[in-house]
Amino acid sequence: MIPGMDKTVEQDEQDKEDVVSSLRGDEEAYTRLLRRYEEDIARQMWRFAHDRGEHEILVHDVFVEAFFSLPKFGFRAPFAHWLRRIATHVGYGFWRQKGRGRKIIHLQDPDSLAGKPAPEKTDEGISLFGLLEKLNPEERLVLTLTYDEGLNAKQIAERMGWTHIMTRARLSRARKKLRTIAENAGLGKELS
Amino acid sequence: MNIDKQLDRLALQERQAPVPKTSVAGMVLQTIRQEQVIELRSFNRFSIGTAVAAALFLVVTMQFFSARDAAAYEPESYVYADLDAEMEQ
Repeated sequence: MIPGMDKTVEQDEQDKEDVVSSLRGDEEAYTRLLRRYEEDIARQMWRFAHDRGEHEILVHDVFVEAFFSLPKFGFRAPFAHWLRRIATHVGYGFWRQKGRGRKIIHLQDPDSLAGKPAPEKTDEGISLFGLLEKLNPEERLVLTLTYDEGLNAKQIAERMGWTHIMTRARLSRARKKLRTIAENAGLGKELS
Repeated sequence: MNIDKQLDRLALQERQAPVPKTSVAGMVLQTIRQEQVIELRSFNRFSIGTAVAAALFLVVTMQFFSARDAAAYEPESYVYADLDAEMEQ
């Protein structure tokens, strides 16, 4: 079970009702869905951006993207899982755009979100986020999903729409690279 | 402790670290409304463009067929002219 997303059957029913109402143009219903999942999505998007301004924009983008994708929801999976999938794609897209050096354009003014205090460091100088930042977006994503959500290659492939073989190869390559990066950062020496 | 275990430990620390709270509901609804207006405008532009293109196509098609019809009668007029000439003789 996905941590933080273990919603009850009753909540699934509420989600379905709110999705149907949102599709009919009920803004309040969509606001209820948003408030129900904002914390979970904020937690997930924190893995994609540790800058508070970027983080808030990512959370915003997930819910905007989800709203316009609601007609494709289909009610086959719980809303929470579907939303998490969208969030992963939004985060991955963010890394890819950032990697290409393009400025991401949003409807909201990002300047209004800048200037918020930076997050606290959680480790003695070395963080997994900092190490993963040195990888390319594909490798970073497979490892982020492995470390933070405990997904295996098959589950990552399903979420991203990639082939299983390609995902396994990416995961293996990414692990090797991360070990090298971690060693270069002095991780092996520090605690051995 | 090997490097993989250290990486697992770092991952655990990050999972347990506090995450900043967000409050995006207002912004999200505002963006959705803006996007809907943009979509509606582009749909209207598309509809107007399609209607104009269809009207132009209709006019051009009608002109083409009317011109073709006139040309189609032309040989007949020659035939009648020839017949008239023969009759006069």
